Amino acid sequence: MEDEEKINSERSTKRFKSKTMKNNSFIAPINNLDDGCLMHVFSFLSPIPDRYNTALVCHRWNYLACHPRLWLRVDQSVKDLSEPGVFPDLKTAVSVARFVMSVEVSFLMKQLSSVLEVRTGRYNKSSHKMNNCDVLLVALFQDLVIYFKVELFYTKPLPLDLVIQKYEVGSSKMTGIISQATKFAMQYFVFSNKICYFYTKPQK
Amino acid sequence: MASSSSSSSCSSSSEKKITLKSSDGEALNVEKNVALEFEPAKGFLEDNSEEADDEAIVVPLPNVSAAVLSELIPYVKQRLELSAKPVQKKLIKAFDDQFTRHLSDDKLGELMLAANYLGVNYLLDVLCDVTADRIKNKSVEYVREFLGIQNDFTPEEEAELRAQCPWAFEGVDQD
Repeated sequence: MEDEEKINSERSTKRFKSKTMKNNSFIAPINNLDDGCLMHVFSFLSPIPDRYNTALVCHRWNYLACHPRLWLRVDQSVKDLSEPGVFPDLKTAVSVARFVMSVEVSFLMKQLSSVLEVRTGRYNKSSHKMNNCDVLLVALFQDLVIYFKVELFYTKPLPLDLVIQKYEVGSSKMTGIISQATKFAMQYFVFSNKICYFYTKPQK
Repeated sequence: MASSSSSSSCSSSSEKKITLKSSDGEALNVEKNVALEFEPAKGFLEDNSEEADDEAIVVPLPNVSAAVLSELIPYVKQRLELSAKPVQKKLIKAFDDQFTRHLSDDKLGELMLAANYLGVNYLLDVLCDVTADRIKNKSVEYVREFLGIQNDFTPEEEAELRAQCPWAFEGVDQD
């Protein structure tokens, strides 16, 4: 009986843990969720700022929130086409993701003509390391936001204005956007590989 | 998906009751069409289909407590009724909103685990969406505090990760 009371009181304090507990051994209820569940939650979050913020919460979240499975992946070297979410070229990927965008691909290709943002990491001056980083290309058009993520190595210090850069793309095709943006970034970057991730959501 | 399984056999099977046994040993009577929405129960019923009397079947659900089950069952039941009718999606959404609005974070997590285990995908989607909404546009510190998660990064690791994408941490909501 006493034990039961103890457990109950423990439970009720647990409920208020979030504000007060700083205990090492404490495991947060949300971390009881399995990886699949937690990733499902993250899949509802947009890359900026939420996925980058959740990635910093703890190691497990870092691994899950940055997991490639949360992105549709375009990888020319891919052999096994049965792997979910991986496509040999952008066009296939977009047409599969079309139900998310609810826009015809051909229409999309024509309309894609707005501002593109390039967001990158900063060169680490102190260590002079070749750093691996993501370049996030954010394209806005119609009522959609598309995030393209390209993995790059950067070798030179970046001018500060490149860290967040917006520029007009003109009326290029979607593949053109990537090559334009990456060509632009190529002045400062060496490609680590040609894998591109993308993610779309309706613009609010 | 939900409507096809329910509408075909709705009138006859809704009368039949199935007994579910929760992790803490409690027995709950539910309509058969509700039980069929739970994957483990569906499999169990199929395996034991030669049993003449459905009433005699007790389906064990060792991963779900009675408290959680008794919240899930009315939800699934009403959701089935809703989707059996040709109602608008708006109504279903309103119903889902009403169900999730007052859930505590702990309860949300428990229900999510149960929905995942029971394979009730429409509920899992709704719950995950709600959870994501609660941490949307929040700072790292807020999320840690809010969910009670221990920061296991060293200060150096965290600084390095932040330096990689400084723009990601601007413009989030004030706590």
